[in-house]
Amino acid sequence: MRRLIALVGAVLLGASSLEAQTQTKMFDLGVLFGQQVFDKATALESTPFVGLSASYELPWNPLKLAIKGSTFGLGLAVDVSRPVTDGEQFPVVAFDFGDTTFLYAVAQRITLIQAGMQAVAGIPIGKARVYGLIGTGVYSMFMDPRSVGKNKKITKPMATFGGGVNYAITSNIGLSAQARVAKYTQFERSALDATVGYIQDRRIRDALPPPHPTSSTPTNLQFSLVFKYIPGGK
Amino acid sequence: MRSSHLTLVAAVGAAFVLAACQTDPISGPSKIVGEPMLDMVFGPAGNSAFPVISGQRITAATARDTIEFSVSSLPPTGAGVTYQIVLVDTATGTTTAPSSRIIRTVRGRRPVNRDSSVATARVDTSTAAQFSIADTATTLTIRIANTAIPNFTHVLLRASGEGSVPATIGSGRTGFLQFRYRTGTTYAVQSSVFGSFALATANRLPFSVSAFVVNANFWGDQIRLSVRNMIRPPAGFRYAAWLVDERTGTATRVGGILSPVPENQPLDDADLGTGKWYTSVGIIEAQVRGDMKALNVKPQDYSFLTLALEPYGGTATPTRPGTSYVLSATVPNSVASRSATPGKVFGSVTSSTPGRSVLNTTVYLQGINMTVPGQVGSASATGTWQFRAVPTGMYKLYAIPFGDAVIRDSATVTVGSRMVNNVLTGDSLFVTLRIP
Repeated sequence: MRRLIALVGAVLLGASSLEAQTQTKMFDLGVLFGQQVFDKATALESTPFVGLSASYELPWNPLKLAIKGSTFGLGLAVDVSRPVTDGEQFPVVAFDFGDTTFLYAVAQRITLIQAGMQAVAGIPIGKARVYGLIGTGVYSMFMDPRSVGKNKKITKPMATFGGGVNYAITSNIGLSAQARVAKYTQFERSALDATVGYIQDRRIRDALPPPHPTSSTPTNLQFSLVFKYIPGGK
Repeated sequence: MRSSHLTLVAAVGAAFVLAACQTDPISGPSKIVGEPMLDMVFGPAGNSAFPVISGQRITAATARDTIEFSVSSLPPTGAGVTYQIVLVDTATGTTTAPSSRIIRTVRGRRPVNRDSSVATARVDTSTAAQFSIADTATTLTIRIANTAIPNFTHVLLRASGEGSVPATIGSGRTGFLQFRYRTGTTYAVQSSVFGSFALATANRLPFSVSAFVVNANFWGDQIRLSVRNMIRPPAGFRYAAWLVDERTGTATRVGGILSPVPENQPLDDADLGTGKWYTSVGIIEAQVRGDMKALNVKPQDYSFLTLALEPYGGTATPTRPGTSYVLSATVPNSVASRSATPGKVFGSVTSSTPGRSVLNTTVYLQGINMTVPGQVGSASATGTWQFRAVPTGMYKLYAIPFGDAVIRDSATVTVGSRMVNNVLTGDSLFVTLRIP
């Protein structure tokens, strides 16, 4: 986790230095805070997340002729969250004490990092700017070593799209409300099963309701506030 | 560095510190599911007695031959269910349901005093081709005197849940208890076999206790029982779980077997039915689910849970489980410990004859559905008597004067319970018994 934070910090500082070398008014940085709502098929519970985004406004804008003042850029986005698995989507485990057995649902808190590239297109409406984004990237799930008994990480591709509204507070500070869809691919819910290290109970097979149908391509939602910083102002 | 840069770096730093410092109090087995399971060791029942035929003999006579045999340990029948007496010829499959002499003996035992008891027997005789059973302690002596006896080979008992007796039986199974009495042209009585009968020996399925028990437990308000690889019940029979209290004889039917979760469909046709849960000889997997709230039972009021055989059909299920216990388990300590501490039943014996001594009047206590006494005592010179430890439940009290052999008075008592100093305590009851 510390290595990860250091890496992200390095990217951020690198981006800051890069900004110094680029033209002003072409670059923006964002800090995201929000809530990630997972598809029920993932067996992950909703969780807050934090993230960073950086985008570079391209001098060439395909929308420029159609919409005056529109922008088009490419950027990077990364976010981190620590969701908890819903133990009731996995088998229950049994703890036997003489003639009494306790049944437990087993959850684990994972670390989820989603990172990728995205294209952002926006149009101005007064002091606000409506924008849409689409991109691709990867999601990495770092399992709880105490639950799965080893260091385990799963990284798979994902696609993203979404949009938001940005309001310029000052010439170089903005605030956005953003919604984004993260469409996972090659997702395996069973990989999140933390009951492996315990004795799964096979006696009361309906101790829990049937789990939600799983999917290899779950659709997750992110709702966030983005604090945007535009070096040099715009 | 400009202040706006510092603001950005501070915001990023705060966000990542927040994410990194999130604690993990809910990793692991942190959420308990349902009530604790109170497990039972469920296995072959040690106190079972399956239906058996004994004393079979055949008497040849010029006018007509006679077959006589005794049947015991037949499970009680529900309303509308009878056992049919059938003669079968295995060569042709033809059958007949001969009218038979049925001598019914219900045996019991009651004390004379604290040190001795007498066996009791109630006998009645009837003539019929079928009969029902109400009491587990019933033995039947059946006498078939019929000119058709030489035309058949086997005596077969069927349960009427299978339907009326057919004129011929095919290759399928039918009946639950049989013995051969004729081979070729010679009478030769053989031992009886409990299990499904068929014309071909290879198709018959003698019953034996076999099952792999997955679990048996009390789980909240539910009783759960799961078994695998259980032999099919004899034709006309099904499996049903019962809670039984050996102290009072109280028994409550929990329910029949069902297909596994999540199907939960009745497997009452496990004797002869077809389906994905059956093989030719067994039941692959089954379960019993009992809702104690719906049944209005408290598990601590019972001493064991059993999976027993019972005849199906009729308009109602049997009121007693009989003794065909296939599997059983003692109620676990974790459940039994919820019982109230035993109560006390005490009282006096009075005589309506002035000057008559009540000393040594035998007083005994018997569970309301039991056929044998539970506790026996005798009255003092002043007529007092007591039973110090009586588990909660319903009982009958009887009084037999000293030197007498006849019950002269009886009373029904129910030992309930109440909280005394936060301890569930059995009631103390005073009862007066009167003798002549």
